[in-house]
This record gives sequence, C-alpha cells and structure tokens, in this order.
Amino acid sequence: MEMHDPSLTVCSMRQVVKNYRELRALDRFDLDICEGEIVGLLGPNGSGKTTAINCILGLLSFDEGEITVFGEPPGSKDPMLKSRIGLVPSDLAYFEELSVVENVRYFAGLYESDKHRQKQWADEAIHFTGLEKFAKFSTKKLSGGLKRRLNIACGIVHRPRFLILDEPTIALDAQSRNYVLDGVRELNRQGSTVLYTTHYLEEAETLCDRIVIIDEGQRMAAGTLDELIDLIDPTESVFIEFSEAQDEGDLYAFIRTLPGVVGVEGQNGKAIIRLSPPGHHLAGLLEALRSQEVAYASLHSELPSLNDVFLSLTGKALRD
Amino acid sequence: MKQFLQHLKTLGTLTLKDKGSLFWVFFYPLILITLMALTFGGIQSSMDPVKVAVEKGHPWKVALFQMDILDPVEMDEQSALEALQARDVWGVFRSDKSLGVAESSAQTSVLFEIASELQRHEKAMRLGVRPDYSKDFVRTADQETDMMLSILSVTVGMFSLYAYFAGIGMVDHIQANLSPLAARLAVTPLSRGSYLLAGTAINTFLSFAESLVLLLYLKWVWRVNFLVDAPRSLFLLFVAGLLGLTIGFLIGASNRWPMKAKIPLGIILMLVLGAFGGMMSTELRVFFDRHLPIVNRVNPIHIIGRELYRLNALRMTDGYALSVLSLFLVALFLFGAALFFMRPRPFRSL
Repeated sequence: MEMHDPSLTVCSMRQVVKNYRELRALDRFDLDICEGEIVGLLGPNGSGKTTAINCILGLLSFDEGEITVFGEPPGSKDPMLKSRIGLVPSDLAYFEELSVVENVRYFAGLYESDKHRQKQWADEAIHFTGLEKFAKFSTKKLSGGLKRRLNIACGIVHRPRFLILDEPTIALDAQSRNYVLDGVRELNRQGSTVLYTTHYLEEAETLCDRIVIIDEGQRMAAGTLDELIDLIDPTESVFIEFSEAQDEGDLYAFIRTLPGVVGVEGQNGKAIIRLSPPGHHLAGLLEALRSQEVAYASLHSELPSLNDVFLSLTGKALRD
Repeated sequence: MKQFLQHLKTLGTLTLKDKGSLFWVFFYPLILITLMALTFGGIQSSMDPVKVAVEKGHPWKVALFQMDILDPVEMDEQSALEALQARDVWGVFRSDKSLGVAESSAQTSVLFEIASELQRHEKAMRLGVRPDYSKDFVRTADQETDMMLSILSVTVGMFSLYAYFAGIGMVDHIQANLSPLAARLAVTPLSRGSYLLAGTAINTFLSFAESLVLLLYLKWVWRVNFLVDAPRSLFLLFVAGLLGLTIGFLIGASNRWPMKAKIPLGIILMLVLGAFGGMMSTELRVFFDRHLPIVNRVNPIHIIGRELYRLNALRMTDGYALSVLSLFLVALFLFGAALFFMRPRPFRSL
C-alpha cells in the first residue's frame, strides 16, 4: 500500500517493539515518512502515537526493531542533525516566566548563534503563528489557544526540515485549530516534512497526504484517504425519515431491488439505506422513491469516511 | 561561549522574574530570623562581654575574671542584688556557687553554661579526674557559651544551602524524563555543559547574595556580627551555596519524584540537618557530639555553622581551610554524580 522512494525517506520505523513493563505500547510498528509529505498518525488516546514519536526522537528506548531519522539512529548527538528536527509536543513546553518573544528567541538561539538571524527567525515564527500583538506578553497571561501557538512557534523557529507535531490542536477552539492547520500546510509548502499525530478524524482527512492508523501499538493500515477507504467494503449511507406512515416491509423490499442498494434497515419511520459503490446511486434512489410517491421529512447521505475505516479495522469508532 | 552567555541571560531573566523563588531566597530567611529573634526575646550580640556580679570571696573568682566572655565586677551580696534588680548586670555568681539571674536571655544562658561547666569541672577534680586538655572538647564548650549565636550560625548555615531549590529546578529543565520542557530541550542542540555552568554561576551568586543580605540584616538590625572575619565568612558561604546547588542537582537528577515532592524533601532534609547541627536547640547538637559524633562531622549545616561561629565569635581560623575544602570537594563529587545521572540517554519511560 505505501509507495515511497527509500532515497527520500526522512524517518523510518521497522518492526519496533516498545514495552512499558507488561504493557506493549508499540507492537511491531512500521512507519515510513518521505521528504515533503504530511503523514498523519491517527489513533485514539493511549494508542501509542506519542510513544512512537518519543522513540523517533531518541527520548525513549525501545526493545526491538530499527529506527532511522535522516539515515541516523535516533538520539544522535550531532547538532546538525538535531537542527533538522523540530518538535511541537502535546504538552506546553516553554519557560513560563519568560515572555512570548523571550521564549521564541531562546529557542532560536539554541540553533543559531548569529543574533541578527536569531531575531529574524523569532520575528518570523511569531508572525507565522499570529502572535505579534502578544509578543511582549507574559506567557502566563495568554489564553489556551495562544499558548498552543507559542508552543508551535518554539518548535518551528529554526525552520526544521522534519517537523513533528504531537496533537498540536488538543483543547483548541475551532478558529485556533484552523489557524494551526493552515500553518502546518504552509510549513509543508515551504519544504518541511511533517509527522502529525491526532485523534481528530477531520484533521487527518483534510491535512494529511498519507495516514497511518495506529491502535494498541499496532499499525492497522496506512495510505492515502482513498486507499484507506478502499481497504474496507465502502458503502454510502442514506438516512431517511419518512413523513407518512409506510408499509415498511413492502417499501424496504422494493428498495432492495434498486440498483446499487446493498442493504436496508430501519424502524419507526426511519431507515438507513446502504449504497455501493458510494457516490453513484443516490440520484437513482431518489427517483425511485419519487416514482413510488414516498414522502420523507428529511434525507441525507454520508460517504464513507475515515471513521468507517477505523471502525472496520479496529472494531471501534474514533469520533471527536 | 555564545550559548553560555545566552543561557546566562535567559536563566538570569528567569530568576529575576520568578518572584516566588526570590521571596523564598531573600525574604523568607529574614522573616524566619526575625521570628526567631522575637521568640527568643531579642538577639543582643553576646560577642560583647556579659556583665556579671561576682560576690566577694567566690571560690571561682579567679576563673571568672579570666574569661573574656565575661565582664565581671566584684561586689558584696547587697550591692550585687541591687545591681541585678537595676539590670546593671545580667546575673550574680553567689559565693555559695549558685547563680542568680533576673530574666531569661542569651546572656543568662551563657552564665548558666559557665556555672554548670565550672561545677562539673570542680566535681571531676574532686573525684580525681584530670581533664585531658589535648582533647578537642574545649571547642564544644566554647560553642556552648552562647546559645543564641550558635543557633543563628547554624540557621545561616541552613539558608546558605538554599540553592538546593534552584538546583532541582535546573535539572527539571534538562533531564528529559522530568518535564515536557526538558524533553523538548533534549531534542535541540542545547549544550548541557554550558546550561549547567551558566545556572551554577547565577545560582551560586544568588545564594551568595542571599547570605550577604542575611548577614547584613543580622549585623545592622539585630547587632549580631557574623562579618567580623568577613572575607573568610563570605567565602565559606559562597562554597556553601555551591554545595546546596549540587545537592539539588543530585537529588533532582537521581529520581523521578515530581518537583512537589523534591521541594518538601529539601525543606525536611535541611530542617533535620539544621536541628542536628543545633538550630532548634544546642542540646540536640551536644547530644550528637557526645554520642554520635559522626553525624555532625558529615553534616554540612553543622560544619558551616560551626565555622561561622568560630570565625566570628571566637576569632579562630584553625580548621577553616579543611572545612571549606571538604565542602568544596563534596560539592564537586555531587556535581559529578549528578552529571552521571543527567547524561543524555533514552529513558525506559517519560
């Protein structure tokens, strides 16, 4: 399923096993991230996303398998290699006593000794995260969304080639979340390869070139959104609420005869009709219902989503 | 070098902006000393000789008149009583070897200790015991002569180790398994060496400043002078600050207890060491000196307090260099041990 050019691999995990005593956090986990990609690591809380990141960064030891980042084992002390990597952790991680600009400049200074360039980088990161108006604010006075943006600014200030964002939008309002997602797209456009972990389906669907689904430390599937949907038996679900009493038995029997209908279920004036392949048979269904003079109060259709994939692969739903 | 200067600037800013820490470092010691002074009914510097009446014909008259710590005046019984009532003297050594005082104070404690010591000495002589003056007990006895000064010197010693708290805070910033910030910094090209060096420079200086403020406060407000031998006293406290910081480094790096556990641990450790060293009362220290001397021989607060006392109350410098060197070497050892725990490595868990 995964198509990648090994020469462009930024990060690779092969059959990685990580145990926390009896708990297996990563179970023969594989991951490949190629230059220029936005890879989403999607899984519920406790699925192993952050453990995978910490192993990649060399913060955590692992029991089996192999990890390389830019061809080197994790945890390299080479400052040049470290300069290529940026981390935005899920926890807020900066100096609370410093102001926004002091924090960002401090992180810039860890990578760049030239003061002029430090300032330029810091200004750009502050501008990029929309924190100009708050640059001199004490971080303690920032709202939750602004603190998240500062957390990002500290991670991107040195323009990393490989940016790891660990659930950066956790506990953010919709506006701030969109701001962050737009920012990640822009960073990617500017050349950063991105590993983005989330348990929000919509983020993975809209942001990521490829998605890796992780559950209980195992890689359940990987690929583009379309490839993942193709993995399951995809159906389009049509939800109908009838406005008049119907002889549901006869009606459902009629619907089952329609082209593309693979299933009907319902009761008390509500029904779900499954169509396959998705996106092709809705118009025919509506025409058939009209021809039978079936009146309905509401009707909407849902194309197969990542949640269906997740549900199919893991047996559980992954909803916000 | 550039990163060192950057850390120096950042850590300096962090320190100045952390008003909570500044309170504990600079104001808490002053408040505690003030409370202690009020509890003990004032700290008069008993480095000034204690004025005392000695009744005519007192069998210890010669000994009492030879003690520098006393300012004795020979009087008859009636005059001595009147002088005591008028508070012209702190006490009266009566000819029947009893001691009369009018109130409790550090000065009367000195008189009580002298009277007790002379009685013990006399009893020993009666029993045929010949004290071995080559032994070191004179030093202990000297320290017992002024309870308040002794307590204060140990208290200053305890506060001089307060850099401990900065030490655990610094480790919390750079050991990846201790905090999210440390984990983040661990994946940057941050130089731990320059970070630790910058933090050591700032916090040792801060600890030194704290000790200086405390000593000046004691001198100017409470008339207790621990700056009689200022260069040696200050150097001692400088090294003590370094030691406190490295204790913080080691305790911070050697386990995964959260800060909210490491801070009380430090407070308890210092109070216990301070108590053993005589901060609560000299009796506990004397008990350890007599029955478990090893405790206070390795107790840094006792060592610092003892040297401060000896330098300033007794003007004694023998043993000072060895004490300072010992403290410095221990600090160096702790720093090395802490570096071992802080070495960059992947952890089993974060």
